[in-house]
Amino acid sequence: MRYVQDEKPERTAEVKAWLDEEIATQQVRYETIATEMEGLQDKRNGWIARFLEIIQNKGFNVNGDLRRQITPEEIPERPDRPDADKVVW
Amino acid sequence: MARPHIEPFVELNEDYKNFTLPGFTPLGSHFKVLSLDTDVGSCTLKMRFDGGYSRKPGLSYSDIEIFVLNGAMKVGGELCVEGHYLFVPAGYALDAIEVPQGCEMLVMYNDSEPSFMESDTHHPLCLKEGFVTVNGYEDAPWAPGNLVNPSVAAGCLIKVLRYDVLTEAISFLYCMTPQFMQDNISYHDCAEESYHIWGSSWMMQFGELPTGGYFWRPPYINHGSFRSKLGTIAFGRTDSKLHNYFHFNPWSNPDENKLRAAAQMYRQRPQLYQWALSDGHNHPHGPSDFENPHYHDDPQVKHIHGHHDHPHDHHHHNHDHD
Repeated sequence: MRYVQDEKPERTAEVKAWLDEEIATQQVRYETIATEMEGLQDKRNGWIARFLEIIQNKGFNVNGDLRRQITPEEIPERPDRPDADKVVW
Repeated sequence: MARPHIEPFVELNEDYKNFTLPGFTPLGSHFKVLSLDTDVGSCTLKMRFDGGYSRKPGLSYSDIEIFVLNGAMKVGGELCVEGHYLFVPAGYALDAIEVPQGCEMLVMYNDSEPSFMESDTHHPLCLKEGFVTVNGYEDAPWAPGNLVNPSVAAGCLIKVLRYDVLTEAISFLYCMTPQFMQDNISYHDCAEESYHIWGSSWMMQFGELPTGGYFWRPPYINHGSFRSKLGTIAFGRTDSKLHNYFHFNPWSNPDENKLRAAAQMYRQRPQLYQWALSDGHNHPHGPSDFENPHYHDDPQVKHIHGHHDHPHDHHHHNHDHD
């Protein structure tokens, strides 16, 4: 079955140039965001500690407002690997 | 690659550029790219049209979604004001556009880079019955977030604006009430996109996302826990079925999350899992479906599986079907 999308004309040089420029801009933006997010790590460590505390007391949202208290034995440990703190992929 | 992970991006800090792509009316139209697929050119733009802007009737070779953020745009005889949502199927000859006093909107090209061809008749292959026009603020009801199960916590509500029956991709408005909180970490099998129309929300990985905040998040990436101190309203989309996988490991990566999702499938849909894995059943274009015999050719289905045959310079896939 054919769709309109299958009949799209070839890209012109102008369109290719527009795409190249926007792709390059996006790449810079991606790298800027990744760096900014790395810069939040000290704060994020605090947020994670607070989260792990909340789920052991108030509980973890299993489904909707249904909560379950997580036991200390269930709390995960931070893995020793380079991407452990990565949030932008 | 498809669209990279853009999160968080606050577009209000960026300048508009003139929209000069061939075929479009450049005078009075401006854009910012929020995210862009580097292979096929599909993209989400924030656009501004100045007062007095007009465009003749015409069509695109891509499905388009439009959400009016502010101001008003006249499409033929219909006045589209803030909150208005349009889904314009590829090949649909949209009526002439006039912008009386300026407007801003999100414009999403789902299949390829922006394209426009002047025409007052639909393309012969156009699936014109897919056209949607609705004011999301006035004509769509808020529904509880348990539309999806497992569900978000109470206080996160949703208005569905469009639902794709083949892929279950949805476009929607959502809101978080003031003091919304949800203490879990979430990920999905689908890509997820959001633009904060007003208000702010917080996620443990990314911090505060304010008004004008945006993300395009590929599948299996952790986000949450969640807070919204003063509430927020946002436009969101997924590219396929939204399933909430909740957990409490802040350090899991997308590969581990995907394995966990597959393990759930192994446990919960054992026969399907075994069948899909068995010899000869793992064709990349998917099995046959007597109810939807041509689904392999559907542009959205092809897109989410990375199958595309658009001419471009980055890399090329063009698989033959059996």
